[in-house]
Formats: sequence, C-alpha cells, structure tokens
Amino acid sequence: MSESNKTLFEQLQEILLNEERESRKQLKEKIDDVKQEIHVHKQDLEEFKEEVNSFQYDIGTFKEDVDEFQEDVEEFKEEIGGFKEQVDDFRFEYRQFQNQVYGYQTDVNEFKEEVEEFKEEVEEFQEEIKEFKEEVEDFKEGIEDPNMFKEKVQPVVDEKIYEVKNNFNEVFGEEMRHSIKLQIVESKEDFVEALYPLVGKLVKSYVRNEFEKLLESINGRLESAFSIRGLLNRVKSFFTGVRYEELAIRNVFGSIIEEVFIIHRESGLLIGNYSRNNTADVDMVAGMLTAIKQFSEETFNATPDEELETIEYGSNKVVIQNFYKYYIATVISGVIDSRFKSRLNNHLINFSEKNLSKPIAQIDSELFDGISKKLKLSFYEFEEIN
Amino acid sequence: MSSKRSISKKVILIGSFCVGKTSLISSFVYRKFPFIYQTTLGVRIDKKVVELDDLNLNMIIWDIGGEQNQSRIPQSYYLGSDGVIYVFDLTRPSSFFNIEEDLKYINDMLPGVPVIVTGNKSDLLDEKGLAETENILPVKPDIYSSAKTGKNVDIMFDKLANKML
Ligand SMILES: Nc1nc2c(ncn2[C@@H]2O[C@H](COP(=O)(O)OP(=O)(O)OP(=O)(O)O)[C@@H](O)[C@H]2O)c(=O)[nH]1
Ligand SMILES: [Mg+2]
Repeated sequence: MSESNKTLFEQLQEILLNEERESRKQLKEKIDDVKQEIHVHKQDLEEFKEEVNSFQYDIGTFKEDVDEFQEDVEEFKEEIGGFKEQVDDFRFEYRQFQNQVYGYQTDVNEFKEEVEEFKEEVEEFQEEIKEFKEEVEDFKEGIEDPNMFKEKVQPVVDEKIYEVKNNFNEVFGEEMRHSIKLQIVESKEDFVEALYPLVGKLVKSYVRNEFEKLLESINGRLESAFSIRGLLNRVKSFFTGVRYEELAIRNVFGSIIEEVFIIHRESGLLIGNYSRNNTADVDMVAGMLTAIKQFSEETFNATPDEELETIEYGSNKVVIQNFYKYYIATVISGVIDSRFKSRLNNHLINFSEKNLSKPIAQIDSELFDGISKKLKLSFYEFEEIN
Repeated sequence: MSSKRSISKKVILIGSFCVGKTSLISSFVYRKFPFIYQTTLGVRIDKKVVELDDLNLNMIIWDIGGEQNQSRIPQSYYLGSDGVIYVFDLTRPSSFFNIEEDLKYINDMLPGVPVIVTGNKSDLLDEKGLAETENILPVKPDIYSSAKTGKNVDIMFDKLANKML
C-alpha cells in the first residue's frame, strides 16, 4: 500500500502506533533509568545499611566499652573505698603514734626536770662538800688549838649524849630488861632493898641540886639575919627580962618563918610575899620553886593529894600547902614539930579564906602589894603567938 | 624603881638544844653573850622589867633546856605561860625541821597565847645564805635574831610584850 492508499484511520493509527512505540521506548528507557537509579539507591541504601550496621556495631562495642568502663569505675570505686579504709586506719595509727609521741615528750620533759633537779642536787651536794671541806679546814685549825677544840666539840658531844639518852631504851632496853627481870625473879627482896634508897637518893639529889643555889643565897641572908636577930634578942631580953642566951637557944631550937611565898600554881608567878630579910629575887625564887614542884610532881606522876609537901635542906624546910589556883610555900628554919606544922596549916587556910577567895584575873603590883601587906601582918601575929 | 603599876607575865623560851635560848636571854637581861656552850639542865628562871609607857612589865622568863622534841618537856612548864618565844638555829636544819609539829603542840597546849618564832644566829649567814635558808624553812619566822650581836633581841622581846598586853 502506498501512503496515499492508507486510510486516515490507518494513518492515524499508524501515527498513533508509532507514537506509542516511541513513547513505550521512551518509557522503557525511563523505567530503565529509574531502574538504574533505584539500583543505585538500592546500593546506597545497602551501603547505608552497612554503615548503620557498622555504626550499630560501633555502638555495641561502645556500649561494651562503657560497660567495661563502668566496671572499671566500680572497681576503682571499690579500690578507693579500700584505700579510704587504709587511710582511716593510717590516720588512727597516726593518732596513736602522735599520742605516744606526746607521752614520750612528757616523759622526756619529766626526765629533763628530773635531770635538772638532780643537777641542782648535785650542785647543792657540791656546795655542801665545799662547805664541809671548809668546815674540815676550820675543824683542823680548831684541833690544833685545844681551847677552840673544846668549844667546837662540846655541842657534838652534848648532841650525842642526848641521842644516847633518848635511844637508850632501844639500844640497851632488851638486854637490860632481860637481866633485870632475871635479877628481880632471883632476888626480889635484895632488889627492892637496893632500889628503894636509890630512888629516894635520885629524887633527893635532884631537888638538892636545884636548891643549892637557893640555899646559898638564903644561907647568906641567914648569916646576916642572925646577927640582926641577935641584936633584936638583946632588945627583947631587955624588955621581957628573959636572958639573952635563953632567947638565943629558943631561936636555935624553935622554928622561924623566914619567907612566905604565895605562888600561882600554873605560871609560878608570885602573888604575894612575906620576907623576913627582904630577899631580892623573890620572883625568881617563886619560879624556881614552881619548876621544882612541877618537875617532881610530873616525874613521879603525883595525884592531887600526893603533891609535893615539903622540901628539906639542912636545918631549913620549905612547907608547901596547895590551894586550887595557887600554893603557899613557907620557908622555915629550925626544928618543926607536928604541932607547929598544923598551926601553920590552919593559919594559912584562914588567911586564904579571908584574903584569897576572889578569883585572880591579873597578877599586878596592886594585887601583890595588897596581899603582901596582909600576909606580913598575919605573920607578925603568928610569930607573936609562937 | 618607878612607882608605875606593874604586871607580871610568864614567858617561856623553847626550841631544840644549842639554838641560843640561854644566850638570847643573857643578851636581853644581862647584855652579855656567853661564848661557851653550857646546856641548860631542866629550866632556868630569869627576870626582866620592861618599862612601857604607862606600866612596867615584870617578865619572868623560863629558859627551858632544849630537847629534840617539845613533848619531852614536862607539860606543866608550859602551863600558865602568857607568851612563847620559839627559837631555832638558822644554821642547823635539824633545829627547824620539826617546827610545824612543835608549833602545833604549843598551840594545843596554850591556845590563844602569842608565840614569836625567831631564827637565831643570823650573824653567821650573809644575805645570800639567809635567802637560801629561807627557801627551806617550813615556816616563815617572825624575826631573825642574833644573841651574839644583839640584833633584834630587844625588838623581839618588846614585840612579845606588846602582844601579851
Ligand atoms: N654565832 C652565834 N652563836 C650563838 C648565837 N646564840 C647562841 N650562840 C652559841 O650557840 C651555843 C648554844 O647557845 P645556848 O644559848 O647555850 O643554847 P640553848 O638553846 O640555851 O641550848 P640548851 O640550853 O642546850 O637548850 C653557844 O655556844 C652560843 O655561844 C648567835 O646568835 N650567834
Ligand atoms: Mg640553854
């Protein structure tokens, strides 16, 4: 068929067909392109997927790493915990150690002080040695001079005597006691006989010693008094008609009140005094009498009714009459019989009732003068009757 | 003697032996210092009239022989004392180591009675020695005296006189 012979339809159809063909071809190409593209995309996707996968993998490992890290952290934390404990322990030990150190320090300080003290002592000791050396030097010098030697040695000897005296019992007591006991048992009678006068003698010799000085002064006064009395006797005999010799004999054999002391018992202070011969140191005599009285009463443990009553010396006697707060000592020369003694006692009791019944607050001249005056009068009276 | 009123008082001197009691009294009463030591046996009694403004004080002084310990002395010697002088020897520690005990004993025996404590023989110490001794004294004394030079002897007795009135 020629072109001219093809119907329109046919023509059209043809065109159409051609067109369709073309378009199909085109489409096919397009599809291929797309197909191609898809393929590429698919590849990209694949790659992406791969990438994602690897990323996922990475994440996985990362997570593992993180876990590991966490574990590490955990372990580390544990380790730190332990370490902290160790630090605490260490700290504790450190404290303890510190305390010990402090302790040591205190010890060291104390020790230092002790050393210091010891040093001082050593120095003192050195000083003492020095002094001692000096003393020895002095002493050496002293020995060469016999007078000085005596003066130096005296106190030491006295100290020793005191020591031996004071420790006699400890040192010799046991032996003494033993042998004395034996002796007592073996010869009781002999022993008592031997001891009795000895005790008496001891007391006497003490009292005698203490009185020797008193005796001396009183004797002196007596001598002078005797001559005055002689004069008085002459005067008296002139008036009474009694012969002087008779009076003198009466005086020798009779008793004469020489002194009367009223003495405070505790203090020995003189409250009143009558003295035939104006004795000078009556205050001191009163003190001495009191000391002797107190000593003998205390040494022989006297009870109130065993108090010292008389002290005798030569032809003189001190008669003591005790009252509550004071005592009266009367010094009498000549012979005393019991009649005289009881008369004296009564006289003193009367005197004290009359003049000494008030308590004594203070021993002053007013009291002393008042009482002495009354005492004098009362003894004039007493002698008169005698 | 003046016609002033007089009061009698008993004063006792006590302290260990050889501390200078007798010497202090001798210095006060007789203005003499005995160089040779003669220990006092028992007791010795002296007297001194101290003239004060308005009266005379008739001091009867009991010099009591020293013992190591005060309780050895017959108790009655303490009785009726109006004043006490306690003497120790500054150069002899054994004379002042018992001082507290002794003072307590005296105070028990004579409550309320004035006591003067004197460290005697001060002439034997220089200033330094005195300071050193002061450091070891258990009790601070009222006075430091010397019977030898007479230092503080009258002052000591006057002080006691005033305390007793
Ligand atoms: N250097 C010096 N020596 C003194 C002093 N006082 C006393 N003496 C001496 O010390 C010694 C003893 O003195 P006394 O007064 O007898 O002592 P005391 O305390 O009475 O002694 P007793 O009677 O034993 O208790 C004597 O040799 C005195 O010469 C003083 O102040 N200085
Ligand atoms: Mg003496």
